[in-house]
Amino acid sequence: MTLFWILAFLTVPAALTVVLHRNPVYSALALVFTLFQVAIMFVALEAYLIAFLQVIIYAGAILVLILFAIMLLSLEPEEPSPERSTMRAWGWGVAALLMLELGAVASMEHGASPAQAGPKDFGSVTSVATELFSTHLLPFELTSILLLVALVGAVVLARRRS
Amino acid sequence: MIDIGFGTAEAWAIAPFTIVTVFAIGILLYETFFPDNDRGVELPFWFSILGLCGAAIASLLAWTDGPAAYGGTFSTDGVAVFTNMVCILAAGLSLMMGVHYMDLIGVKAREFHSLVLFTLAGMMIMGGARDLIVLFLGIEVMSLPAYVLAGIRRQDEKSGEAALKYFLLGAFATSFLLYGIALLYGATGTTAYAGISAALGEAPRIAVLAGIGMLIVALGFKVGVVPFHFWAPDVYQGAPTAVTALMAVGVKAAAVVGTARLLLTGLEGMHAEWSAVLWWLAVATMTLGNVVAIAQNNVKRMPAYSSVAHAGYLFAAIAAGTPRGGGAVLFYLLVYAFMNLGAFAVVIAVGRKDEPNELLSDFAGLGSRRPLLGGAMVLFLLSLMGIPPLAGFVGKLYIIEALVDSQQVWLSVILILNSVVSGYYYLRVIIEMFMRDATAEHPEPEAQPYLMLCVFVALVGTVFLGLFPDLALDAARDSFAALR
Repeated sequence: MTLFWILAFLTVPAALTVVLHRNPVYSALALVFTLFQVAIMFVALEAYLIAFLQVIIYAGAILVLILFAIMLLSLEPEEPSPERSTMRAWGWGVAALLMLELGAVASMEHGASPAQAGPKDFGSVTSVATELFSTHLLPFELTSILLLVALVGAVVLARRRS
Repeated sequence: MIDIGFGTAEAWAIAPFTIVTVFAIGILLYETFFPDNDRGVELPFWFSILGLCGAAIASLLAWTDGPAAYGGTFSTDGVAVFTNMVCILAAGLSLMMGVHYMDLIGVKAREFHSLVLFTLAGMMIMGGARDLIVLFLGIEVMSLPAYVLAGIRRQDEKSGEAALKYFLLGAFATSFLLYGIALLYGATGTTAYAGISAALGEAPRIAVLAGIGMLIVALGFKVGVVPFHFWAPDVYQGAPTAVTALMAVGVKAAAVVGTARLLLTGLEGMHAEWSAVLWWLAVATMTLGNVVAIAQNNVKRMPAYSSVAHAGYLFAAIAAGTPRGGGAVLFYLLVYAFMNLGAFAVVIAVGRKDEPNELLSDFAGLGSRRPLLGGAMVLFLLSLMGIPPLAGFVGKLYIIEALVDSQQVWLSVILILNSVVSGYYYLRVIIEMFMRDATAEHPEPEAQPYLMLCVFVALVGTVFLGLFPDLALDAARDSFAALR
């Protein structure tokens, strides 16, 4: 529990920095930090596989992609403008609503919580693989087609005009 | 040792999907190894049609009322096979429209064919999905190629705008979908419809309601119901007409069936709640679609709003919440496919190179210039309006019957009133075609054999289903009755 609170006090400010900072590069770096903290939380929950995936996929691949996009588009730090602040107000409103909703759901009586109801090796490599290749075989296959389609679509749209 | 859950039942269940995907990849490979842009589109076109026929046959062979494959998450039951047929029809006729049209508007990309096949593959998954994750992946496999197809005419700004709008709003809808799935999973501990249905009684109610709400929003986006329809008119107008036809019929059909199956099987226990939401959505959609369509002068924008209105009719039938309503949905989708695809084919036939001919006044005098084409358009429009003995009338009749059957009399009254309103703008096109003289010189039209074949097929379907609806109707009803 102590570990959780330490992590929470580090993670929440980092997550807020992602959203609030004016400079997109700082936001991206804060996101790396946030994702690592969450990975440590997964380790604390003994979900080692998810922790590894979190580091490899999110903190690794996706973050690199985001940094690439920021640098290729050479995004400037945003200037404050009245339009922005109205949109920001809307954003805060929606965020507050979602917080309330999450709080309401979390404070309710829980039925069978999936994580607690799981078997002892829940989240281990073996159990995830078993799930993936038995229960979720079809989604697993479909995802590969989805990636192919996305690739083809991107090429069709981005190719030089003939 | 992991027991991989793949056997004969699984292989059959995804056979139609596999065939379509293999043909789509085959076309891509062919274009890669023989890149000759002047070869014409006939070869990939016929290759695609071969794939579609294969998929249709495989769907019929895979038809089973037995237990669902993949641990109950996917099946080729009657509903799935019927959906497959409607979507294969939509894809086939759209490809047929595209044969000359794509060259005409300057699209050289032969990927058109494989993208249409990939979209179809996604639709087939949505038709048979019995699991929220499978549904989600089906929607994405269907949508990604559709986004690209909307923007395939890259030299045209409108086409690009349509693609971007479609993509951004589609991504927005996906976030709602995932949030809804997460909430339902959190509340029930499973994503399979059967498991959700069993766990609904003890699940925390607020989470379930919020999840259902999010799912309805997301699926409403894909179907294009008010108030989530804002993308529809711009996208339908900006996309190439052959693609618009595919989106207005195929994508909509798959999304409607996905919604109907989710609500009528997985969430049947919450019928009272979602049916009330659907009631209001249906009324708003029908009314707004029809009223705004009256003010349109563009013959692609008008069908866009009309198609929004038709989404309202379909949601009304789902709101009935009975297998009968589900059967009416399936039957109406088939009818809608024929008449709407036919109307879009006529719009393409009237247009020429560099002159989109999309204004209502471009149709002036069509009845005397090209009487056969004009006559076909009249039948499509009368059918869309719901005039007997055409298919559209029978389709609406069964929706109304299903509504009355489940005590939703007011909804059926509103639906009838809306049909009357829709008569105004459909008749306007007919008057333009037959009562007005052509305002501009129209040169002799070129021969467009594929397009005329497409109009002919649609016409036969529209008339035949109006006169002899029994076979298709029974199939539609039985398939939904066998769902539970």
